[in-house]
Amino acid sequence: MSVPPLPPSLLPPRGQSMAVWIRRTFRSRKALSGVTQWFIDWGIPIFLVIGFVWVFGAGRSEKGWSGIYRVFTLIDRPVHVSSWGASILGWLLVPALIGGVAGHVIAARMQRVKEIATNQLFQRRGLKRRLKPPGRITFLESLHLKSAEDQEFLDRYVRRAHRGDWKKAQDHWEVLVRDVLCTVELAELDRNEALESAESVARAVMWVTGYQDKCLVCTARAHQP
Amino acid sequence: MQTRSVVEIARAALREIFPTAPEDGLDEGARHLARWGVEGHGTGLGSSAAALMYMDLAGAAQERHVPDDVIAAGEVRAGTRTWRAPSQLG
Repeated sequence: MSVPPLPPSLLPPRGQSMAVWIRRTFRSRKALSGVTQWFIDWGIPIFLVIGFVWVFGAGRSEKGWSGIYRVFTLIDRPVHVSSWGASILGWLLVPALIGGVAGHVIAARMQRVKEIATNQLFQRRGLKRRLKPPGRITFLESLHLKSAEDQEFLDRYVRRAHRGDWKKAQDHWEVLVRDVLCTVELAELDRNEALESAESVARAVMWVTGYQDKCLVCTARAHQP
Repeated sequence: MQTRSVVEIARAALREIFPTAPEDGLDEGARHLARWGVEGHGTGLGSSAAALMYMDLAGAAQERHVPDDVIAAGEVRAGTRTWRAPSQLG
């Protein structure tokens, strides 16, 4: 496979598309706790299905919204196809999902009440830090011309390791940060600390491989059967 | 459930760039790279500091070859490590 030529200078960034923003945001969810990730991965689709069944069923039911609610909560028996769907969802949601999620969250909290991550020993986390919203994986183009160190990193990682392809470099950067977020070393960190550490690891890894114009993700995918 | 360690990822990276390093050297280098990364030393890493990190890792991994541009970049601003170099441990 031929290697693209090395561009003489870093090409100007093109800006972020909505698709990249959504992908970056979705991949950043790996910094969140397991329960939160589960709600994003499964909770939102389940909620959408419930919403669809509710709206569809409410339109078919003589009793409207309250009729579907009573079928969901197993008060009334189903009388038509859409209400059968609501009834089955009600059977599944109440004991299996809601009970399962609540049980896991309570059990996990009980388990962790006396556990403190090693790097948090003697540390103080104020309310501001606890309430800080989760961040997103860095958009590399935002580092352009930000500082000398960032420009050097972009030159090595985007121009040399990815032959100036901002799109591929961004994708591989997100993949590496996402995979680092899934490691055991970052498991006990809060969402912002985990993302900071993951990006620190990713940058260090990409620098050392970048000194040989290599990208770990490019190499791994090239060797993939 | 986490099924992967940062050390594994670091080891995969070092295996790519240190072809002559022995297995135990790669393990040692990977542990250092993983620890420095998790501790935040990768944040804001520039060319000269990254070159120093590269040379420290090469030493820890017992890798004989270090590219000339790494040595040159490391000499730009000597002694700007924020991490504790392996030679300073023990």
